[in-house]
Amino acid sequence: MRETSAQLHSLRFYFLVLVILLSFSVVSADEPNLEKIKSLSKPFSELLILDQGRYKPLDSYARTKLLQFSGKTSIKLNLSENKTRAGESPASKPVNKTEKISYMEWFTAAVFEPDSIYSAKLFLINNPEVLTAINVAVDSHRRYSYDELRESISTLNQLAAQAESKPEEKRSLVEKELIRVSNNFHEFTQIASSFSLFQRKPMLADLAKPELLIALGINEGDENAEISLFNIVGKASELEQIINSASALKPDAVKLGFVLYSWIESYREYLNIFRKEEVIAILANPLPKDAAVGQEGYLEFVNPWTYFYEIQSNPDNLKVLANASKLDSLRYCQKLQQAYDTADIKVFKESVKTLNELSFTYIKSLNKSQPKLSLELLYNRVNPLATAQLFYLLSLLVLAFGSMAFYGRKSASKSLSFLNTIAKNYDAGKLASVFFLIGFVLHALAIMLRIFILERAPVSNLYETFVFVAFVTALLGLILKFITKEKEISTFLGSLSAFALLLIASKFVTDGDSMKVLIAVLDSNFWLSTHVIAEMIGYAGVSLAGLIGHVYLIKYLIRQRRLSLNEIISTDEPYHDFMISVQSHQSIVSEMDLKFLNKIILGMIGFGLCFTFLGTMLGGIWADQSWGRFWGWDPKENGALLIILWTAITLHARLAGYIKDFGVAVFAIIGTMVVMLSWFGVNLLGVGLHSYGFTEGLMVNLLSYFFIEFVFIFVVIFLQRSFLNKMKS
Amino acid sequence: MLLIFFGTLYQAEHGLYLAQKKFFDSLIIVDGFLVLPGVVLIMWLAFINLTAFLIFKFNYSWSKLGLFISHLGLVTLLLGGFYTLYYSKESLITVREGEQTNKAADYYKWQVRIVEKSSEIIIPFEIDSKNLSDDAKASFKKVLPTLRFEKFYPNGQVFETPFAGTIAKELPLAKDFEQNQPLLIFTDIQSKEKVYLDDFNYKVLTSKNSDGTLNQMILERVISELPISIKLEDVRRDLHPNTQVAKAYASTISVLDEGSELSRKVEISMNKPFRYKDYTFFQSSYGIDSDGQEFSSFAVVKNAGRLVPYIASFLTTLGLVIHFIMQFLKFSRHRSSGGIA
Repeated sequence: MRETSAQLHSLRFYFLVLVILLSFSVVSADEPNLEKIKSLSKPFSELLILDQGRYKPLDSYARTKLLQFSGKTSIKLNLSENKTRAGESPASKPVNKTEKISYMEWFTAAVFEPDSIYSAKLFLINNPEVLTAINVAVDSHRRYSYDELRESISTLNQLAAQAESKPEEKRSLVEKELIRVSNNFHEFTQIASSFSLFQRKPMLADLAKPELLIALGINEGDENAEISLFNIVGKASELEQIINSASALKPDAVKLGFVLYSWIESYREYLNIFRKEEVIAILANPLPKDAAVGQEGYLEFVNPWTYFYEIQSNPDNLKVLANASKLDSLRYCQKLQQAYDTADIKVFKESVKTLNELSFTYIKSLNKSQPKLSLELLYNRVNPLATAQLFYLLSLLVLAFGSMAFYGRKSASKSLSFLNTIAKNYDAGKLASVFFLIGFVLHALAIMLRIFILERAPVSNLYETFVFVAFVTALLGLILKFITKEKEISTFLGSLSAFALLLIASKFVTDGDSMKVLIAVLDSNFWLSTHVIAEMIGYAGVSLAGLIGHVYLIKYLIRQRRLSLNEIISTDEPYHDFMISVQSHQSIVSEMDLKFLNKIILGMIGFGLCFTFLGTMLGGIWADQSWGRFWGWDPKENGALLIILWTAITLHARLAGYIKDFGVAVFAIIGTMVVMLSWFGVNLLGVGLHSYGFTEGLMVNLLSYFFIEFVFIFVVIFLQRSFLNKMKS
Repeated sequence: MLLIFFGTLYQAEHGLYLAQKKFFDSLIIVDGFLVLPGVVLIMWLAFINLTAFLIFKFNYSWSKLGLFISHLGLVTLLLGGFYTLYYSKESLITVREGEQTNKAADYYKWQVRIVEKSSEIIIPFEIDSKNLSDDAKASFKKVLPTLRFEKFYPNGQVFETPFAGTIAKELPLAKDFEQNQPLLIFTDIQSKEKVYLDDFNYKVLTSKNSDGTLNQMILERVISELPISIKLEDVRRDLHPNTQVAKAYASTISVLDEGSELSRKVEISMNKPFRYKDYTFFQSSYGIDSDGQEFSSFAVVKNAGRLVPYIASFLTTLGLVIHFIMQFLKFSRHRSSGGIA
């Protein structure tokens, strides 16, 4: 324990050194060349890296990081003055322009030209108390730039270190946020310095006099020549010769050597501590595998800075580097930086390609399967899930629109005549089902792609289970559509449930990479696919039953109200359920509709019971296979058991006559709550598994969901009673 | 349902083992003045109810075939559950690489073994009972007349401090119940000094009898001997690249049957246990001890009824599916003919 905290302290010290060193380069903060970034970010996104145990394109990493820092996938850049307008009258105000750039463009700039985006509002800080603590003015957008935070970084680090010394469960919300922000700042600094080895540094340019550079054989009087750390270190033996000679350049050479040495040393310490969290590990480790043994494990891939050190077995850094033949892959990195500086797309693309080829050959030599780079890029670029979600929403909107238009026609209200024409010209139901189908196909495509990329069942984390259950509910909607006459209502149910579940899933995206590697116990394709998939299909069935339960209750109330008022139709219907009219073009909710819905609810509950039972038993068998016990009363097992018991109770209570159709709908809604409880309510009990801020947010959402459902059920039952009383009187 | 719900909540706070004992494995739960039936009691009631229902009240007809099968499956499942509850046995074997053993330690149960001249007395106790039985105390007194029993900590630790000497400290019960380290504290009647007995540093207490023979008292987990002994040949751990996340654990062991000379090699890994008669061996954990030696722990489960839940769940699922399909067909027939029941 003591060792780690000492490490942490020294870490924060070196981190400070790093920030100071980085700030040397801020002298001429250039604005980013957007055109260049846009054209280079695409080839750069294809670079293969190793992160969190998985080979992936840089694209996925960049996306995860921007989400982690700012909670969004794009970021706004402030372009204070437009340079092309320099010719205009100086009296005119500087034009403040903001430009939105994508995560990959942001990442490209952060790596190759970090000082150009230091002013971008990157870091999301939710808690204003954090800002007060570190003396930064509160911004209404809740996002702060590197420049804004840099002034207060030592305070932030101290506070974060203090918070970290407490046990996790005793940290307050502010302390957690302090730690999170400090870590994010730190990680960004690492990303921004990952290519600093190859970047031109004004500080170096000042130190290295032209004569000295000529003597080292770097610069032939050309102003554009490279004066990067990597370049000068490459001339280490020449530099040493000058230092040892009696040349007039000696004082300058000594100064340069000293700066180089201290810089490299500080990076070395910094990297030594942070070996485990490799930032953009793109290069195959030059060391043989048996060089690293024990608990630490072997790093297959390393980042340029680590590579730079690992090839030195000799303590005399400067000398060894000069003639190392192993510098080849580093040279390609340098080429990347040079190509970026000169905006040479061709060289840039070629360098990425060569680096990838080197990595692929290396992975092959380890006898591992080749990473599915292009598939993952396709998945990231098309983003089929977001598109599917959009189509589900469109389908819902069309249905809502259509039904409003229908009402409009009925009521002959003039204000709705526009909708009227639309409803006449297009069959809303058909249009909606086309959108629904498109969404469904995209959804299926997304799941297929994930299976191909990860080579495992698509249900191994909370995010994936929501995506999968959404898919199953959409599928059930589709099946209902084919086997029943109620086309619109099936479309509605499928779209609504899939949309809602995908919406929940999208909340998990900021949680990091959704394609994480599996821990040892889960790493069993057969059981993972059969057990979890069966369980999830069961969840889908019971959830859908609950959803239909809502529809049933609303319709039931409308019917009761009409019966009690003895009205044919009322135009200012307060329980304005838009589906009534769309689904069958009948103005009254018939007994038939309710019966039909009831049948579907029962079917879904039965369906859910079958699959949840199957899934749970398969889980028991898996547990018996790997732990030696069929049942162990652990929270997840109990959660599954709760669902089984509740669905069984619903069916038996109906059979015994304790509840009628109305009660079945209420029970189905409660069933959905039970599903949610076991789905992630149970996860919330597992203390310290995931980040706390996230879990607390989840807890609030879950509780408010329960609250709303209870209120809904209460209101419905109250109204039902009051209608019944009216009818009696 | 409520029981399971609260039992799960309780578990989050008090760990799995206690929750299981209190809520799930007991007939009656007593908490203050609140008395509730335990899950096991409910399971017994459900079992009797189901069986009676199937025998006396079930309306036998082809249309209810699925229902019958699934309820029969449930009865079998409950039977299997009871069998496992009362007859299965779990223990843990830990072997270092290159070593051999046939002794498995119990997860939760501890015992004090007193070696007296040539005979052995074993005093078992439950460490969550907070106190020792009078029998146990009497035995201590008999074997170690110079010591007076003071205290018993279910989870305790002895510290050596520079100024205050040796101090015993009681720790809160660990959530993983098997991690508790019980500690017995005695006082030497003559010197008034505290004497400790645990399974860590103060392993053995000795006393001299009048005839000069030695008595020994040892605190240890309940040990059971297996009919086979295993030797750990090799253990390995694969990590996901560049991380500390384990991808797989695997151990190669040599199994030596009792009375036979020949051993055979077996590989045990996650999701791939080794079975021997009623025993099943599972890869449980992996580690490196203070000597830098790798070791592997295997959970050993003895359960003759382990196939029962397989059959039961197959039956129930089959029944449910049959019933669901029959209902579904009925439903779609009605739909297609236009009528609604």
